[in-house]
Amino acid sequence: MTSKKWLVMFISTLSLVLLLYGGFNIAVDPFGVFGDPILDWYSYNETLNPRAAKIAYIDANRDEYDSFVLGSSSAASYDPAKLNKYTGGRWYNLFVYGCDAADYLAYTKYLLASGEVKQILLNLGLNEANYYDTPSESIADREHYLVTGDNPLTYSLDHAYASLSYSFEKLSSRATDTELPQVFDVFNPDTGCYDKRVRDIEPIGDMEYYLSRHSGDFPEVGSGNTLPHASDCASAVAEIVRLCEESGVELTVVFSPAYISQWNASTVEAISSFKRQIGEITDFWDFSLTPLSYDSRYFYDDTHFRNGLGDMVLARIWGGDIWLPDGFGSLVSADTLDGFLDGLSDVRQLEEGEYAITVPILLYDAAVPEAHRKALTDAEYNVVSAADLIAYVERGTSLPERAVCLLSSASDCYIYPDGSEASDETEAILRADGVALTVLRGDPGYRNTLVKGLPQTLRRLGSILVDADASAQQIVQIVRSAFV
Amino acid sequence: MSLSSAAYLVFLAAAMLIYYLCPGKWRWCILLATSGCYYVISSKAAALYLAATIAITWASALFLQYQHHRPAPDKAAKKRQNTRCRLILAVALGINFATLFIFKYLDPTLESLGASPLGLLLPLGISFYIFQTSGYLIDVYRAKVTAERNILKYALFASYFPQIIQGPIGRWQELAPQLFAPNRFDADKVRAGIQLMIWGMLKKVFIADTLHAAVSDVYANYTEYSGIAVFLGAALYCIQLYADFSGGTDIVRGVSRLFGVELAENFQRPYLSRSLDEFWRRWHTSLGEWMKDYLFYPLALSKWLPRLAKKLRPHVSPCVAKLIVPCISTTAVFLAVGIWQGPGAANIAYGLWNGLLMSGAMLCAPMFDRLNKKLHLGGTPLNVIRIVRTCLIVIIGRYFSNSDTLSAAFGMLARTFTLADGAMIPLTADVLVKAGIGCVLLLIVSLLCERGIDLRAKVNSSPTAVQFALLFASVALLVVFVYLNGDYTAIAYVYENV
Repeated sequence: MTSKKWLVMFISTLSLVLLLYGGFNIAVDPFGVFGDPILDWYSYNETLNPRAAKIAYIDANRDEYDSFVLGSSSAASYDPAKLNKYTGGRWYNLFVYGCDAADYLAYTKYLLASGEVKQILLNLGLNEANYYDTPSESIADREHYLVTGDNPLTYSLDHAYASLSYSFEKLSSRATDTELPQVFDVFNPDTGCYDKRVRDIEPIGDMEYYLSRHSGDFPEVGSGNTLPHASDCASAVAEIVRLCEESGVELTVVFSPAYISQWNASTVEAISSFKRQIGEITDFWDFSLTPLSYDSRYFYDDTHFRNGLGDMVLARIWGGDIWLPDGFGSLVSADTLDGFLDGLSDVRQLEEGEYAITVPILLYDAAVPEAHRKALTDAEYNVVSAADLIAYVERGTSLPERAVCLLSSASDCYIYPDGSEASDETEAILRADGVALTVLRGDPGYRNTLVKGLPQTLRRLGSILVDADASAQQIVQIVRSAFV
Repeated sequence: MSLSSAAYLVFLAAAMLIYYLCPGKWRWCILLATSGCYYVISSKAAALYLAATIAITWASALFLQYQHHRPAPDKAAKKRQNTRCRLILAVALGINFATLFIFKYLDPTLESLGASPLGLLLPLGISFYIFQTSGYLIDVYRAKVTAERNILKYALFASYFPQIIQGPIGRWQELAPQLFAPNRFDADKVRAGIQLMIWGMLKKVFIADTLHAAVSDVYANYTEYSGIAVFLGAALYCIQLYADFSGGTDIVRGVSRLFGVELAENFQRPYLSRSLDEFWRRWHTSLGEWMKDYLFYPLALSKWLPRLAKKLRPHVSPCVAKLIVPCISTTAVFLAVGIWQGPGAANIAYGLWNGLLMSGAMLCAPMFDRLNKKLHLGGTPLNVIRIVRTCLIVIIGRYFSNSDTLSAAFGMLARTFTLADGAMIPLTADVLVKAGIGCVLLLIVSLLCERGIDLRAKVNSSPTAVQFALLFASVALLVVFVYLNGDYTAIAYVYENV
């Protein structure tokens, strides 16, 4: 072969390699920026880079949504289904982890330019005053070109020629994917929320038990933070407010629930100043410090509140019929701003008994024997039904003292959040450490322990299973030990 | 701008395009502009030091030549003229090597004396351009070359961008004619250049960079590793260094070929050497040649060294007396090589290790020959033994050259020779596969080349499908693992900042 021919072959080979490389990345599309033509796995794409994949998803399904939640990962616990119910809108939770107010402003502009927007829920945390417009070099943090206004060609080329490891990672994840969420596909693409089917059925228990399981999630944090970017955040919020007003968008600004350590990390003066700046721009709902801020069980970790608490926030704003503790959240307007700020830290810490109760739950892989029920009643225990328990959790109704819940797989074990069958993974998360559960008002964890497929679970978790042939005395003994 | 970066390839492609589009007589100006841009982009303010070195050595060379050509009416005038030339040369070389000392050795020296360092940044490729310009000065002094009148042409010689980072150290008489020639686009040269670049990059990326982390960890934390692991670490460092330095040189030579300029080969399969002397003739050849021409011969042919040998002759055997001059000169040369490696006692020890062993080998050569004859050793077995022996000596030398301190080097040696307990060298499966395949391939290529097989010619004459397969595999490997791999971090060449 002559050298000239070889040089032609070299250039052709280089082009071929680049073509194959880009083609592979486009086909696998780990960031979901090319429409994910083969795998159609937005749950994965959004986990890898929610900034790019969520916008790509919205762009492809823009007509499906007219209302949006904006916020960082702390806004993940606002359920669009509930928002739909309360407001009649078609909500998408456009939260993105690591976002700040500069991003919210950019998203607002994009949403307004891309189609109909009726409502926006803008979630602010104290962290929004800590960071602003933080740059990132990683392609896994890159914003979609529709948001930034980048050149679409360079944006596409950057993703087509991103490291192949992203595509290979996606393929290998696909091979180990299951019906339930895993670390690589934590999103529900339709709603934009995390898929917490697994996370929300973990045992809660008492505070000691909960913290022992989540010791690393609630670290000691410093104090004296002065919220250096409060003014930047306020400027962005002012611009969002202006844009929403111009476009007739109903904007709800919410300060999301903060765990007490996060609240204490900043000075009261800084928090007050931040909230004053926002209050001078727009009305807002404040849930930063509530009676539940002191209880870690309402939080996944010190910066993320649980879905149950998110439900309570939405119910407080839109009048939902669920249990809310007194003093949970307040609407702050220009008229009430001064008074609100004066009492910023005046929040009563609830007694445990006001919102938590220990209820031994006996699970039967058969009908509940009448003899057992009678023996417990005779021993001055109050037998309650699953419905009583659910009413306590969800609506805050009372339960009698020394309550015992007897559940039968034949009649009671029917609840699962999305009505789907539970799989092996969910069953295994049922607590195996005894028969007593501490249930919290508003805590979704309890609710989800009543899953379908209980008999299989009970076989695996023998300690919970109560044998229908057991003697009445044995049952009373189990319940007595549970209260101890 | 690393030689293995995509930015460098783009820079190269642009330079090449402009170079060949430019009329022939101006092409050297494009090379000069490219070299200037490259140095400024890579080293910014340090370009001033390079410019100063160029200006001083250029002016000194012209002055030397002027002195040479001045008519000397009598012997006394000629003597004065020679003295003046020697003085000019001494001053110019003094400035050159003082610059090198200040940037390379002053801070470590101050630190070792307990004073605070000045924080001077080492200009890119300073050792290489100082040695290259010093060689030029000495050649002008010796009237082996004519001093260049055009400072821009001289600047190109001193700063030619492919070689400035890590050599090879060029000679004026070989480099200048090629640099200033109106090189026309030669597909054969470009093809050879690209092939050499690909081969160099594969060596650098798949062997040197892959081994880097494990080797560095062994040297940095040798007390945690077993004696065997420490030895393996040093052995792997030898491979890493060879793949790094020779890979870099291959890239440099390949790049230079794209512009029609052939640079000297710097490595000739050194680990197949049968003696340390041979090793040094195959390893970093351009430095070895430089040391031989500008240090070894001047020492050996000086007046005082033979005088010393003469004085010692009555006290030693005639055989030893004959070797006194080469032994002292060799030791001095390798002491200089050690110092060239970098500051610190470990580098001096490295130089002495090589110099003394080579001197010892010279003195003991007759004894070894007699021993081999007695043991009836010869042919391939003897060669294998010699190659293994040479490799062991080189590996032990690397205990010194890659250690931060002399005590660390001795500590590593102590662990090795006492077979100390400890962790095994941290080689992951990924490293073993990548570096393992790379090393086996490198060994096969080296053995074939050693047998005189022209592999490049073989590949070029193979069927198109074979050539395509090789090319596709090489390009794909580099594109996937280097140029478009966000996780790949280019590791600086070992001799990039020497």
